[in-house]
Amino acid sequence: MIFNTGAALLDAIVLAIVSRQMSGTYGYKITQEVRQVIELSESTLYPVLRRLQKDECLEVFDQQFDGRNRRYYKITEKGRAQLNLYISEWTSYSNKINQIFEGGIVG
Amino acid sequence: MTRTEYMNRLEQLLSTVPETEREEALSYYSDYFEDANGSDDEVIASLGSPEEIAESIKLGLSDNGEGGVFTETGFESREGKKDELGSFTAIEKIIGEESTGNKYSYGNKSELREIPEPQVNKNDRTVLMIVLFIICLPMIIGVLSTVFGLVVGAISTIFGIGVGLIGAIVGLFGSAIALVIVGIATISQIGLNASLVLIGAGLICAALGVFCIWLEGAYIYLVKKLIPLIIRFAKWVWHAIFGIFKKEEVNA
Repeated sequence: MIFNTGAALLDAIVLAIVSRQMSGTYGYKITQEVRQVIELSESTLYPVLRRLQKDECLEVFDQQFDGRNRRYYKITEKGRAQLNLYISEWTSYSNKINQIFEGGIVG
Repeated sequence: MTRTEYMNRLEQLLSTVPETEREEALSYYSDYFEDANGSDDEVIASLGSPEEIAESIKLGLSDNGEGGVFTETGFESREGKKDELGSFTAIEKIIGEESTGNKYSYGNKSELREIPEPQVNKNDRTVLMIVLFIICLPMIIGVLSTVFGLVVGAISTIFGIGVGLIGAIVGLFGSAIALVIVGIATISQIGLNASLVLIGAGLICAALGVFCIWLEGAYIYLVKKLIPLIIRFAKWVWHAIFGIFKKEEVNA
């Protein structure tokens, strides 16, 4: 893709993907789902998840899977509020861009 | 490179980051290997080198809290921080205050602006930590001495019982051999019955000796399980004391 994905947009995408799984989801799955939307090297996601976790937008818990502990990520109330903010910002941002492209707004 | 080699290399490269961060990252990538349905080679090829992974983790840690700009025109990545990871490492720190403070106005975008970072003077912080450390020093020394004493005591006890059992085994077999030999040698002087009593006693000693050997075996097995526990306890105490300081360093 020729457009860069900024950190905030990446945060928003990750939060949105995690929020779709009420019971939580895990790192590999999140990575693959993000990669369906944007180009992203597989090593990029861990720092993002870790930061969102530290910022209390995501919470983690371990659950038995296949005889081992797997780490799951779940969105918090704060994360949900943050995601809503991102979504409303994104909507107004992309609307304006679209309007420019369609010739709607004149100087 | 195998998965084990990859993870070992990564652990090595992360030796400079705080332990909790290192363990967190290692468990993430070990999960990743388990969850990715592919050979180790395929997963490694898609992840990139351990050096790249380590770099991304360290960048993630050091970038934490440094600002980007959140403006009316959308999100602007901080310039000059772009590297091979693209612009993702640029951190726009807008999380943290919005749920409690009034820094964000949902309706009025002109009020959306960069969130000022809390000003922490690193020198003050360091001085504070040193003072705190000195104040706590007697307590730390006390706790460390106690732990040291406990560990030495535990090891001595364990060792003592083991050696004691070996002594018992040697003694019992010595007695057994002596009793049997004396029993046989003195048969003409003390008569058959007395001689048989001596030989019988010797055999009982031998049986007890065999029992002690079994006991020693069981004991060694137990100790092998116990030592890692003691080490873990010592580590736990160590982290309980110094974890506080490490955490402060990370926050600083």
